[in-house]
Amino acid sequence: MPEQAEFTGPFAGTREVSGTGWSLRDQSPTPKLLVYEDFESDGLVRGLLGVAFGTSTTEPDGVLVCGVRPGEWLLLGERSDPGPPASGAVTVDLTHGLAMFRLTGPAARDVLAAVCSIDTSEEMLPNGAVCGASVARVACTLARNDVAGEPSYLILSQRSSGRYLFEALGDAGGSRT
Amino acid sequence: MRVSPNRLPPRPGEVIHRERMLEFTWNGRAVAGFEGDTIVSALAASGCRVFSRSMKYHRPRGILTADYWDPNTLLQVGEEPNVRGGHRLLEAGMAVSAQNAWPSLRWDAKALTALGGRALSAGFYYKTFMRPRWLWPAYEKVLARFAPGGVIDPDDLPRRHEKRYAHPDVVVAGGGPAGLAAAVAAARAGARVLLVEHERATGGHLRWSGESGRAAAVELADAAHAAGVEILTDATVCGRWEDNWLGIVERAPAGGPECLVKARAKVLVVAAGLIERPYVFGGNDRPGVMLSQGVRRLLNLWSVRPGTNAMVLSANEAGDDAAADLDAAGVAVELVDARGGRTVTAAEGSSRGVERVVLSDGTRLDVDLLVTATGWTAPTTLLNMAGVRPTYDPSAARFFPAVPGSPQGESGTVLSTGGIAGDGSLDELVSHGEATGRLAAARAANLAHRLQVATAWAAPPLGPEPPFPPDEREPLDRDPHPELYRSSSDGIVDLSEDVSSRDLRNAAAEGFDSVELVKRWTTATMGSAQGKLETVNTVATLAEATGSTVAEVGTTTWRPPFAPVTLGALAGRMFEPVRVSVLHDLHVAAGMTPIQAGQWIRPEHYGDPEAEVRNVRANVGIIDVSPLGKLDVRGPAATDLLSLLYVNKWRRLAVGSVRYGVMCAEDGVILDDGVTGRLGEDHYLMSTTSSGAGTMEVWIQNWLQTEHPDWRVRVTPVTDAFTSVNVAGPRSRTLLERLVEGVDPSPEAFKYMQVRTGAVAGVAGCVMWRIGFTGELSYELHVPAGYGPHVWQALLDAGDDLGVAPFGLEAQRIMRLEKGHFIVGQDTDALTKAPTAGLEWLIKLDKQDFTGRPELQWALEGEPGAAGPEALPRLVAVQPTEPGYVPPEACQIVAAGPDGTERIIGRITSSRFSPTLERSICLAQVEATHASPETALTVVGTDGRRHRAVVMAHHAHFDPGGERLRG
Repeated sequence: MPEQAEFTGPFAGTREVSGTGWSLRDQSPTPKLLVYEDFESDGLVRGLLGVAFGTSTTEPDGVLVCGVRPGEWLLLGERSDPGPPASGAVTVDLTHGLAMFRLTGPAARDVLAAVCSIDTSEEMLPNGAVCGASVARVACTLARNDVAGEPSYLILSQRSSGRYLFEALGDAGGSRT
Repeated sequence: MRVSPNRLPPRPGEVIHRERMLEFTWNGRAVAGFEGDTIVSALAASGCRVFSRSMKYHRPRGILTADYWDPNTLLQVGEEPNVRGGHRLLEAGMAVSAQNAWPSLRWDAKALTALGGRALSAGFYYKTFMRPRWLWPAYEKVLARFAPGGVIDPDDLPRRHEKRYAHPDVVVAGGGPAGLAAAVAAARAGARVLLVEHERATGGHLRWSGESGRAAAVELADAAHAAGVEILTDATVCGRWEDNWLGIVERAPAGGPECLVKARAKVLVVAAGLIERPYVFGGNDRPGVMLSQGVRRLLNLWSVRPGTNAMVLSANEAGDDAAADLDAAGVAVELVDARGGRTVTAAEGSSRGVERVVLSDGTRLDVDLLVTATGWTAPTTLLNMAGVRPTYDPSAARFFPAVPGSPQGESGTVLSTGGIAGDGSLDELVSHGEATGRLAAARAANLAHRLQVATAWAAPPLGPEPPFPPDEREPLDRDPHPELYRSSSDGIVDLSEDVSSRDLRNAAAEGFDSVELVKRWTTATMGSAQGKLETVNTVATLAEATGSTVAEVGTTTWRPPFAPVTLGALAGRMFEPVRVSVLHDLHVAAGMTPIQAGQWIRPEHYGDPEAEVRNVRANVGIIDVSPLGKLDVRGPAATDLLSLLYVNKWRRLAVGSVRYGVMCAEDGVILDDGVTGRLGEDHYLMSTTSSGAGTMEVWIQNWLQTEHPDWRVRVTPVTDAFTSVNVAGPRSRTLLERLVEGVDPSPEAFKYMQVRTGAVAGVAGCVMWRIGFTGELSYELHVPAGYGPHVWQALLDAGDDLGVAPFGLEAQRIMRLEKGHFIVGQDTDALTKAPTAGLEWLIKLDKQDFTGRPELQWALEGEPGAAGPEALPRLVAVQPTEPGYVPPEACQIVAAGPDGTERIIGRITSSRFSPTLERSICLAQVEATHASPETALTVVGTDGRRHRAVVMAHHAHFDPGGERLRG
């Protein structure tokens, strides 16, 4: 890329808002790779990634592997090996196509409850859980990925909805404080 | 300032703070109350007896229940109408006024309607204003002036409303003793419990039931807090739907705006208590006639004396207690025991209220307060919404939920406790509540376990599945109670709607012998009290009129909401997602006029769309077309998929080429169109219309997942992965030559309808299509979205000397119309089959089966025994003979028959003034017999004028040969 070309997410530059017990940060530049299990791999990709649908795990290089649908994974983060993540995998780079926000803090669950009907209790959405959800009427992928023992959620949507979604989340947080 | 003649000295248990006085106005006059007062308690303390006028007859009305359900104390507060004055807390500076009265509450001219009371029977409107029909507009204007309720300011800004979701194990609806006990027991058993209390504090009737009652209420509330129960006060469970999906309205959580809580409870416990019902007799709606619970609330919560000389008609302990409370407050009381057979036949007095009471034995008593305690209504609404049928018990004179375990009894996840389920001492009610709470928690634990097992992302449940225990609760007793509904005289049954017992009898006499029909004919139970006060009396009156029993008549169907809530609360917070391209800020900086297209905010133009057209035709323009739907299609079966979806062929499309395609539904109707480029042997980038992107994704996944799950193809939506920019105009190639790398843009190397991948302005991974919606030489660049602003700016910088400028959606629409390209959904509709749009050349019946093939074959070749293609309308280009006249889109096209009568033969689907041709141009759908070139058409303008127009030889008004496009 030319040096002057800066990645632009839902917002130009970085964006972060916070309130009592929560913070919301735009992490859209994070590399995002969608991985499909090829039809012929017969579970090979699943075995290599070792992550079941609805769960996630962090690889040694820091990449978060999320089982977003049966036979589909979303890899979030800069991978140390840029090659195919597993033999037989079909990949589509969605770095530019998805907005990604991180909602963190002890009140993060309350903020989500204002915009999302998913049960975020420890039993139903524990750390490491991944699910699809409507957030402020935007179709999203929701990944529970706690930070330093605090509840934290990665919220991914189509990039064009990102600005609206960020503002809706911030508004939800603002109104509860 | 009005003093407070009816305020009693400080009393134990009062909820007012006498050290904090609040001043407000009542009908313009200054009044004062205390913090903790409701509007009504403050006004009652100041001596106010009349609070409103009734809905139909404009009779003066006073306090009945002194709570949320009071039908007589709906007030206007500032700009807010229909405020429940018996429930709303007083605030300093409130401007409170009466509703439903003109010119004043005391002298209400509309009370003249009462003179025609006999004529204003049930069904009066239906019978009177039906004929003559032509007079209805006049009727409507007059009737509108009699519409009840307060007034709103249409210019008032909408208030904010909140919404949130909750997933408690157990929701307890009602915070009386049994509800509190159930919540505590459930929480102690490990359940997450949400308790919802309609009033401002938990405790139910204990709050106004003396020292021991108050102490018990405090103890139970403390236990609930200690057990971790989430308590919502001043909130109502207003509806229950499938699988305990509950709508809960918090009216003012923490002083904030109304909040709709959508809760999915595993178990619902209904502990809504009992609501006292009025007694029906002549004059029962006079100010000064009150229910015993209303009197006790006024006395014990707000220290307000409701009268000076009282008579209490008591059929139960509540009435006896009210008499005792009045006596203790210094009110002279005459207790009439209805259990002994004495009743009231009339309350007489003036417009200021009751002055004497006539008893059934002829006794006359001079009083200013008549208190009745003649029975209860069990608000089984939430249970009924769960399929539980109310059953009448004549010995207890009230309805109960059908017995648990019976066919229409409580289900496994909806339970009841407290007064709604039966009677008992405080200990017995608490004990039943505790058993219910334990049962609810145990059942919720079973459901939670099963839910965790069934949910991919949930934590694995700990231990084996707990049992779903049977209901082994000891049922509550039912206290005997006399059946007291109506005296020997007629009175008002529904005080909200001004429906009398005579109205109900007349309705029955007219044949409305079903309670559901009577409800609709008379509107009884349909008012602001939502049947809580009047349903049982309505049923009893109808039973009396039809010679039936109350049990035989049954109740009306209880539907949400349990209690009236504001429309704003139901709407909650409005979420209206919008989408913007990554170039949005650049468009704003460039002075765009935005337009919303679906969810997308797009530039309609940057000041002068016609100038933008001229610039594209003469130089070069760039437009942000990022909303175009884009799907990454890859896999060995990718070509099979395209062949299935599109009406045309794809197998011979070379790598590096793009092709236009049209998708039809099974009925041959056009669904979507777009171009698809073959990037590799098994790899395509498909485009759809902007508005159809989401639908097409679902359409394709539906075909793949239901019909061809064996196909080895992956379809990924990548609309947002690319910033899409169309570079159009005779100088577009020159501009591209300055910025592309790895691609030869020369006409020989990069031909029309070809695709290339390479770098633009240093950004790798770009896909370039040479296509043209505008009819000009043009290139569509799909750039990794994060670098879209960089490429957009680079195009503007590099093309400065070429006259490059952005153009918006309006210019694009003009140019596509000049070129004759149709837009799906604008020039087509839900009946437009592919041949109508002139797409016969595209439909390939000689390929394998594809979506819509049978219908299209019939459309092209004629269905056996049916009309052929000549029956389909045709999309044609049309030019009005007046070059300056642009017929609005959707204008009808008509043709005169032999007798001169016109009939509609088509419509204008698109129209614009073409700055290129300096004349109006259109597309239209017309019957096939009027679609031949040079056919004269008659277009009907919106003003009714007829305009001549001519069918053109080609869809393209401009450059029909496509020289510019292929240049």
